Amino acid sequence: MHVKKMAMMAILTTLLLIQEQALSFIPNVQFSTLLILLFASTFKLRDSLLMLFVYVVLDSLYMGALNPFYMVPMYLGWATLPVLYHTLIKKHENIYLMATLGLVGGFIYGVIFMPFAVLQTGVDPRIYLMADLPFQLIMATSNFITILWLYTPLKKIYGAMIPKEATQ
Amino acid sequence: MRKIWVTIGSMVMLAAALFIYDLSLEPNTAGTLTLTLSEAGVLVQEADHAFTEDDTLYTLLERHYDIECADASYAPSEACEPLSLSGVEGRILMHVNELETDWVTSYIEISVNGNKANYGIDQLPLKDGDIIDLNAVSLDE
Repeated sequence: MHVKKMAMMAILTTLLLIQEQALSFIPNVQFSTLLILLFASTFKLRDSLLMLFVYVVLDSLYMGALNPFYMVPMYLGWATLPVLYHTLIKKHENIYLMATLGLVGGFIYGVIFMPFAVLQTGVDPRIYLMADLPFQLIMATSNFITILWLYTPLKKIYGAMIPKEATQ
Repeated sequence: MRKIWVTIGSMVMLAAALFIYDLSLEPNTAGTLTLTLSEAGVLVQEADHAFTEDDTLYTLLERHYDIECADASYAPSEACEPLSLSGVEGRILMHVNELETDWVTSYIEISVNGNKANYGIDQLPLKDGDIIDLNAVSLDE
């Protein structure tokens, strides 16, 4: 792997972590989905998944919870975004389609945690889903709106600042 | 222009969905309930508390006990601020008197009349004669 690319991946992963912590005072509102889709649009799927792995490990270390019941669903939840982007969206990228992916991603992220919470605490899955629904709605809507408004301008700045060879 | 309408539409839909969710919650009734504190299922404290229709389990706990809730970083905080700006309050109880949990390896399980509660301390409907148990559960055991 090219050194420039490795450095770029490290910087962008740090950015992902910092913005999440900076916005942590507003639950379920963050730019993580927006940034993950932005990174997925320029890096290969393999690289995006690697960045997300580092991000989840760092995030878990920072939060003091190296717990597989949090880390595994968190990774799976975030990894869904680049996987869906590379398999469904990449060839016909459209801002409304991207925003819808963010919207769906908000619900997928919440639902992925359910089996792990059921295994860990024995909670009824229906009750877990009902209790989590408001937070999924908030995350999905904030994903939709941030992608709709910020994806295109951010991608322009991102494209101007980050040389294409640094992501290949 | 289209983006503005789509944004307004999505925010209206979110507000409507949260409103409907709020309506789906059972209303409180006034009365008296029994609150027990347990550690790994062993009773450590028991008391009866009167409550009004405006009370929640959170307001009862705040009035009668020393409590701490999770802040946005899941650290215990005496401020006990709701973890939401959307109107759906979602406090996470971490400490109640001698019960102490850290959310990572332990948590407080809420039971109502012997059954696991469907809601947390902000949404749980209170009924006259309920027996509510707050049990500190360790995930390491």
